[in-house]
Amino acid sequence: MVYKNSCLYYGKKFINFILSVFVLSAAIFYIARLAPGDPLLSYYGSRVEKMSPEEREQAERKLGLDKPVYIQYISWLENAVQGNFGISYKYKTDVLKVISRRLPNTLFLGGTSFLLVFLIAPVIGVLCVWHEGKWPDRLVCKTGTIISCIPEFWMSLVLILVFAVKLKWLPSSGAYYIGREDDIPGRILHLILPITVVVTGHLWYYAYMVRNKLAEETRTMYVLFAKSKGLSKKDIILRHCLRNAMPSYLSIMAISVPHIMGGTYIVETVFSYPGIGTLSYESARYKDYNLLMVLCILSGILVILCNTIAQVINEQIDPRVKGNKAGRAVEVDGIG
Amino acid sequence: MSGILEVKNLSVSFNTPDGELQILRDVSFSINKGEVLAIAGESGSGKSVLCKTVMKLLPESASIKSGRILIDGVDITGYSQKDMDKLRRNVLSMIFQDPVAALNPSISIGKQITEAVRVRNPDMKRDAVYNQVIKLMKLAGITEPERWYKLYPHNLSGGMCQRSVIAAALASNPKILFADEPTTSLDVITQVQILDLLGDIQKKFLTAIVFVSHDMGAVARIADRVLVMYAGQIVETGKVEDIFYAPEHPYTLKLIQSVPYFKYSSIHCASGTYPPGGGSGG
Repeated sequence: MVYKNSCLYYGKKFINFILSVFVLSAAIFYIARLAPGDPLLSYYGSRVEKMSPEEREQAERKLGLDKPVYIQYISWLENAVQGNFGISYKYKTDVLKVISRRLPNTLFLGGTSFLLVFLIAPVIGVLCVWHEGKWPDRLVCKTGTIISCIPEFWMSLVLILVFAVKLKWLPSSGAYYIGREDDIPGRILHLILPITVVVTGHLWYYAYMVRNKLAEETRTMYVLFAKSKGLSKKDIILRHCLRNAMPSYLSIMAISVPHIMGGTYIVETVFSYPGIGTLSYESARYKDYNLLMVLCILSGILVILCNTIAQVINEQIDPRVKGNKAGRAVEVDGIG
Repeated sequence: MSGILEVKNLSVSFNTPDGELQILRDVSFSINKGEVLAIAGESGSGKSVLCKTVMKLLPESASIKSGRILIDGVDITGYSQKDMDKLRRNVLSMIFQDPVAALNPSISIGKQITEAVRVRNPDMKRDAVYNQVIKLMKLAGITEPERWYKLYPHNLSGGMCQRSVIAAALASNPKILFADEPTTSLDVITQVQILDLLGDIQKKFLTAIVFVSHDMGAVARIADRVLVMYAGQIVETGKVEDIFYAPEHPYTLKLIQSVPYFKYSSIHCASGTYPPGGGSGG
């Protein structure tokens, strides 16, 4: 009974997911073709300008750009379902190959940033609630507001100016020293500035989330009772309040994955970091349709997937919510 | 005779955006070892604030303007939260009006009682703590403690939650137990059971109980002495018989008259408790 319900539950979520990705791909396909620019430019380079109208027509036919958009979409979809996403106009190789070369870089930058935000935000939140209304809380809140208002590209430029140009401590761009791709310490040096920008840009929002949720929890009745039992402030905040703030924190953090990944796109561009972000920027600029499609759909899948996970966390993790869904009574009987 | 708790000329105010709000005005009383003192009065008369002032559980906007609080002859008026932690672990306990809200919804009741035992005896062995918790649960009238140990507050009825709260409160072996309207949110039969439970505890451990209620029926059942509060002041004190048979203050009379008259003056109820998991989960 319970099993069947959860099958239905996840089945529904899965169908929703597939439908969303389908709609997303159609929308991107159409919008990309609405935008001004010449896709032939990325394939043939400056030769395009010297082409005769006949040559142009032939080139368009070769790339399948002469047909109406919906026919183009259907043939793209047919190929995509079979795992063939076409070639990149600019790099002249399989799109997936181009992406797979860049993906680890972005995953590493985004993943590390996400992990840092995920771990530091609760620490700041707890610190603020511990001193709620006193100067450490106010100081953190004020500086956080100011820092989160600084645009990421500007902060990147300032950091490059200070640490790369003036102090010469850290490299200003790229992912590794030229010719030394396997040099791990070198790669880490290249990551410090981008990660700093992504983390400081996103941290405060989530830290406030934890702070406000925790502050709300400290005003509940169970805190009074825990106090009356003689529990210390540390035990009450860490064991009682944090536990109740965690479900909403986890679901927010699931939604935050695409936010933070999106943040890395901008930062990658500023730091010329060879990741998915710079690739997306190039593919949009050069009308590299096939590449752009896959990149957008990848990002879209990330967003939709994370939202779905957040939903599932919200509905499943909290014992109170769970209790309302018939599953609880069965579990209770199981204990006795 | 000096009591275990003495409150002398206590005044408490809250700072509000509109200025200072006086909640307690020059309140003085004392309670002896093993005595049940009822504080009666309507909502907003300052009964709860009085308890929370002694327990130091008031929000930061509240402050003691004047007066002294003595426990066993020791002045605790200026105690910090850290000092109070020690007192709350060993001398004072409190139970609350809404037992379901007083328990943390995401921690099992067994664990929440364990916390109270552990905080008082940090060096105690695991088994010993568990046994102590089971003992306390039995003491609070939970018949099958091993079964209830793992359940969460939302699995339990209000009465069971209140018993769990009482079990945790007893962990500190309190000399004074503040009961802030412990029966208000319960049904009539459970009310009587909880009242009798509190009476048993008082007799067994000679715990002084400060019983706060606006329900004069409950007060009559449990109290030795009654203190009637109105608008932050004590308007009348006396033995329970005197208060009920010869109320001096008109407000006391009104309170007594507020009890709905019922033909059968005593409530008969079945003994024992439901098995866990019955009905809609407790």
